[in-house]
Amino acid sequence: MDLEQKLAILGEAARYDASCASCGSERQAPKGKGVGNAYKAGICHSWTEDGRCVSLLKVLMSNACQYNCAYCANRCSANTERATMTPREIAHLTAEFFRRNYIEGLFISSGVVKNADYTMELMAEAVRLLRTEYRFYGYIHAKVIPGTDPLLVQRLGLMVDRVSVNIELPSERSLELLAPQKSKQKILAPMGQIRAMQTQNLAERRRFRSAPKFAPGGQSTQMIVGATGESDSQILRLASGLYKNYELRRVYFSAYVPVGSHPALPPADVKTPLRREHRLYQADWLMRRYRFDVSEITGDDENLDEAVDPKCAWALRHPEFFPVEINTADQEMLIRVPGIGLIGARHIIAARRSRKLELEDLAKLGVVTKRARYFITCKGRSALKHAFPPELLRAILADARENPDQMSLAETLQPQLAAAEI
Amino acid sequence: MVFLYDGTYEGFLTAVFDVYATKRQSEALICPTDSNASLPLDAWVETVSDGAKADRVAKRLIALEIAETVFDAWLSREGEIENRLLSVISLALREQTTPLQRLWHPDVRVVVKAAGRVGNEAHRYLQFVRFVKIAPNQPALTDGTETPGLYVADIEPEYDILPKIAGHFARRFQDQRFIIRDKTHAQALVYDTHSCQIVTFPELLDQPLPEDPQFASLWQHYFDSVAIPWRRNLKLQQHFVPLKYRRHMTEFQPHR
Repeated sequence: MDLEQKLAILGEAARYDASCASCGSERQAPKGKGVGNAYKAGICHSWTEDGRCVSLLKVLMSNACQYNCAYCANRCSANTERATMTPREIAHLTAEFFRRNYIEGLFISSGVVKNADYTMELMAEAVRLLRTEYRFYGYIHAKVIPGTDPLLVQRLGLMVDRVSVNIELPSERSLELLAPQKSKQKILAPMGQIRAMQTQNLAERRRFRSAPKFAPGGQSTQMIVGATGESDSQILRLASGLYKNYELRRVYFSAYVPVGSHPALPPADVKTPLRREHRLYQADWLMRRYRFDVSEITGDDENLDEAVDPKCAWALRHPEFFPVEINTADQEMLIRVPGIGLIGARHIIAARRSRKLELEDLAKLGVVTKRARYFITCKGRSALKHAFPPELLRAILADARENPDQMSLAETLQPQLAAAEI
Repeated sequence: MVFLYDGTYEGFLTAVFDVYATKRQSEALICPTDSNASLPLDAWVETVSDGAKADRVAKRLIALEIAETVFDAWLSREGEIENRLLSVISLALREQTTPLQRLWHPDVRVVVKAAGRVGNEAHRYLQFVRFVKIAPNQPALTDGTETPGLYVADIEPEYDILPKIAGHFARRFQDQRFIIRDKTHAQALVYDTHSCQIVTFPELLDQPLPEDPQFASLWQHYFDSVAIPWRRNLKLQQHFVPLKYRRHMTEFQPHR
């Protein structure tokens, strides 16, 4: 099999891996001694036909997997073409692609060949070749297979920017059902080890500035949503726990694609709506960047509101916090207004140092008030003539483009709307 | 009074210096000599580019935290941007701080928007420049010096963004020689592993770009294989990679 065929098979095999981030790390090749750097904010180099970005060469070392996880396209019982690349092939491809500015670096993962340690040795060798022989200083993300020797993880972590262990499914029971060779304990153990290694590495670097960095881009994970029956609440609580207890940088969600038949899996014609994945990411964003607690986003055992985004949903549940006065509210409250994000809040805070802001100023600052205007005042003045009943507000805020059904509701309410506008 | 400058950034900064030297900045205009705006016959002076003057202005702009925005907006070459910049600079000097958050001020808004367009396009080219390797690395000869490979890329930017992206590519590919040819502005960024230069040799610019047989084709097939067919969303893809950039992007060329 030639390299082109192998790459196509292993690229396709890796396409359900969600993470492609190349951010959070900064490194520069020393003058005359190597190629590449890691760009702090990350750079996306292309977007495929599904609208997902390509930042790293995302590829499996091998898809000849020993495991038989029911939800996975590469499970050993699946009828699919198998290929394995050599560490040198991976390293060479990464370096050549990088030099043509196709990619930021490598995201290497693999099916389990023989056993966890053997597979990780192959991946570590590819990374070692890149870093030493190819003198490559770009971004590398390596997947850690549960059950790998911690010493091997330590060695790998010192060469790469990011490591990740897949949590795969949102509950222990689902793992038992669908991934018999994996268990929650087996997955959480390496996550805990990685976290401990990071803590230790930080202490070492405080003492010796030249100490090598251990995975400066941090740790991430991903799970499949919709293959099993967990609610969004359970999923978000798990994610929140991972952020708090394991200091993960990111938790990725991937909507389940029917790849096989198994009594515990949804039937082959039932697809997890992308909308659900989208809402989970929005909620995840609120937890990571907007300082929302998971309990503010979702209850005990329910799914997120499909019609409105989680921040809107929170605002609708908590009318007591609104309206927010643009000229005096602190950043924490500004970013909780639907339609005002981190950048909008930054512009507002910078601008209001110069003068008190009017409603008309917001548009000039680039803050879109289409949704925000229901929740704010400027100098005590609201853009609305009268209060809106919550159900009407909800209908207005439901994204009509995303919700064809909501469109008709908003249309029937049009006369009321017209009366309420300025 | 109209100050004419030679169309270089150094010339522009010198003109700003000269405007302030007359102490009549409120009535001054700055205009490149090749502009076709009609000028009053009697009231213009020609500015002669002066490194020392330009340097003083540049340092001041850095202190006022507006240097990058001013440079980016200037690169947009939009009509009369010089006068908008002059207004923003005098605002900054008066207040001794950056006025860029005051987007309700018409001149500030125009400058910030123009700088934004240039900055965005420059970022797009950090993403979308695609090199073709046209000469391999030459192994070390007896004197121990290896000749690095040569990589060439073509771009067609709307704005003159080569000075904005030069540093990034020189840092990233510090051990390879590369040329980025800006087809729109008929100039090229040339890096020889030591320094960057912007040149305008026609013989360099006009040569057709050869093919990069092996890796271009590997990349194209890889690129197709990582897309998930049932999530196909061409509109979203086009939002991130507008069609105009695709002409020179390897993965959007016909596959071999």
